[in-house]
Amino acid sequence: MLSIKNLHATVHGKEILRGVDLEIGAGEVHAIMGPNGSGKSTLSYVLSGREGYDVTDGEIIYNDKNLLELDVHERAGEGVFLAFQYPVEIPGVSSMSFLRTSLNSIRRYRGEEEISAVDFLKLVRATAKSLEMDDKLLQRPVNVGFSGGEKKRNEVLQMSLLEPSLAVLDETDSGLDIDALKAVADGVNALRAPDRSALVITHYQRLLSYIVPDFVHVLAQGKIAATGDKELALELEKNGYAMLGLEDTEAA
Amino acid sequence: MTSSVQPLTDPVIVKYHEQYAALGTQLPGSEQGWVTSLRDQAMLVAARIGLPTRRVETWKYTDLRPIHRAEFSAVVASDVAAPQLDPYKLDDALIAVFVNGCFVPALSQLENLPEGLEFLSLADAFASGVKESLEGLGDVVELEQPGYAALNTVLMQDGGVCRIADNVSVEKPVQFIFVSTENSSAELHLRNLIVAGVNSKATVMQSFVSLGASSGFSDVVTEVILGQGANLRHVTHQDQSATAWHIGLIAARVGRDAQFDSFVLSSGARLARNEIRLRLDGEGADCSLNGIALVRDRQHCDNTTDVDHAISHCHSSQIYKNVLDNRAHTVFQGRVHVAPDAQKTDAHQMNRNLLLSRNAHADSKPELIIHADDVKCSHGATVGDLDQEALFYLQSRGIDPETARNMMVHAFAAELLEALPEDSIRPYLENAVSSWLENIVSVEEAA
Repeated sequence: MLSIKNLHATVHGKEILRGVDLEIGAGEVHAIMGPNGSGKSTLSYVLSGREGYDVTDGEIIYNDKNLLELDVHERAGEGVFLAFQYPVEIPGVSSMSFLRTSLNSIRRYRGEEEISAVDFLKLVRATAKSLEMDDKLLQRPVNVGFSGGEKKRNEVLQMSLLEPSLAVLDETDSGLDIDALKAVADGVNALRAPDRSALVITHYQRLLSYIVPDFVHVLAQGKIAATGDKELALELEKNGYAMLGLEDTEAA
Repeated sequence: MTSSVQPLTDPVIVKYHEQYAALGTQLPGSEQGWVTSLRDQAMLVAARIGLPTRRVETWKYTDLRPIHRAEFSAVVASDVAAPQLDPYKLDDALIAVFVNGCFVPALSQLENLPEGLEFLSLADAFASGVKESLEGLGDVVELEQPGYAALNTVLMQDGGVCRIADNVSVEKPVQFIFVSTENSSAELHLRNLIVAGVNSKATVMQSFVSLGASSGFSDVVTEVILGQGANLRHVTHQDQSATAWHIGLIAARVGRDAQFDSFVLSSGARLARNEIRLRLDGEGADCSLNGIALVRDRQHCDNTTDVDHAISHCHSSQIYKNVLDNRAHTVFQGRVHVAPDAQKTDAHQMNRNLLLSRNAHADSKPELIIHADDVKCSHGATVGDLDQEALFYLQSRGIDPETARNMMVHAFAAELLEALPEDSIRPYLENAVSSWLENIVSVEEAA
């Protein structure tokens, strides 16, 4: 489903990714762990097509399409979804009109009919309820005045509405209390299906107890330094990245 | 007709003086001494002060010479079919239509005016010979003020005179539509008067629109008087042809405990100035002046305000937002003056500019002049482009770049639009903003 080969990418002229190779099959959940500054977020931005993240070598093939040739919104249409580490507040844009514009854009891209206002409202309410999210939040502008946990739930709400085939979660666990973490994990698990994959980027093992990965990769210095199953995450939690000869730059 | 004491040297003033002399009895009200004397007096002032150059502080950023150089024709009668005006009409409103500056009763909707609301065209009010119907005319505007105030008084030809009786609340909005016909290149001197009686309440909107391209010049002065406890909402929508010229002045006096709200949406004309000069005259007087300017190509839009806190316990707030595309230029000059005795004044002003193109230019000059010591005052200005992070966020959710950008520009204006009362004016203005957005071109240029 997703095939990343020899991916090199620079940010502001500085090489961050130095030959990433990664294969994700349909229905698989992969976790990417790694010390801070190893290029985890850069990989998520390169996948979603953010400006300023320049691919200098390698390729990303997604469902037989060259992802790097697609614009940001086209990648979303193809089913790539990035749950942001720091979701942005957008004053003046109402949450409901944002969600509806987004959902209909993706439906149009897929050649599906737009959702009616009534059906949309029902869908949003039901989805918010399943994520234990107060739907009063959605009367506010996008993410404005949301707590950290509410912003992350809002990311998962969007993911649930858009039903991506590849969900990339960029440190979705950071700053979450245990209840929020569980709610977010439940939301992600609810989406698991034979034709849907996920790439879970995280610094800690904690989230992976709730979203159990099929594969765990360690990204270090812009390359995949180790690959294993969920046991690798547990070992890293116990022994730290030093066990791989890596230094965790984060002050723990 | 008197002539000025000094010889006239300014060629622009000479031209207007000749025009005034030539029009003579064709000007409405010329058969009445008091009107002629008002015009003569104003001609003397105009001759003395001339028209402002950019050396005059309040005109520092707006150059009137292109207007002086342009050739304008006399007012010509033109037929307008009623359906042509439909897009500009408010739903369920009392509507006065002026075509090329002349009131046209047949196109207006002024039947069954509610009790306590009086409407007359300025020309009809002059013709009636009833001086009381024009009570207040010339009382608010300062002729000496640099600009067109004096010349407007010399040459005023028509406009709306709207009077709301004491304790009367007018439910429906009153709308003056000033329409320029296609290819019109007339110079219009429009004069409006709105008098809101004690504890009265009303909404008055002025719409300036063009039916096709026109290169005319509208000089508009609106005098507004709010009696004690009156509540008047005034909305200006200036959407004239991009080859037209528009210089507007609202001069208002706000009485004790009265509330004056002004909203200006300015997207038309090659050069537009929307000036508001306002005096808070009685304790508890309150005003909010908000505006949005949407400009592109080489348009120039100047919003200038002057709020005089003449007395204590008054409140004023101003938010002006400008969206600039291509090589457009906006000006915001906001001046708040707090008199020595005006303690407990609460005055705030803010100007925000959104540049969609690196070639656009915004000048902003918020200014507070405070002579009292127990006041709450603030002012500020910002200039920026679209939030790239937010644009990426929207696009990462499948929204195409153009829609994402329009959502962001609309969001910039939304703060002011959403604060408007939920009546027929709000969707009218929202539509006007949306239709402007459909024509943005500079997305790549700004990036």
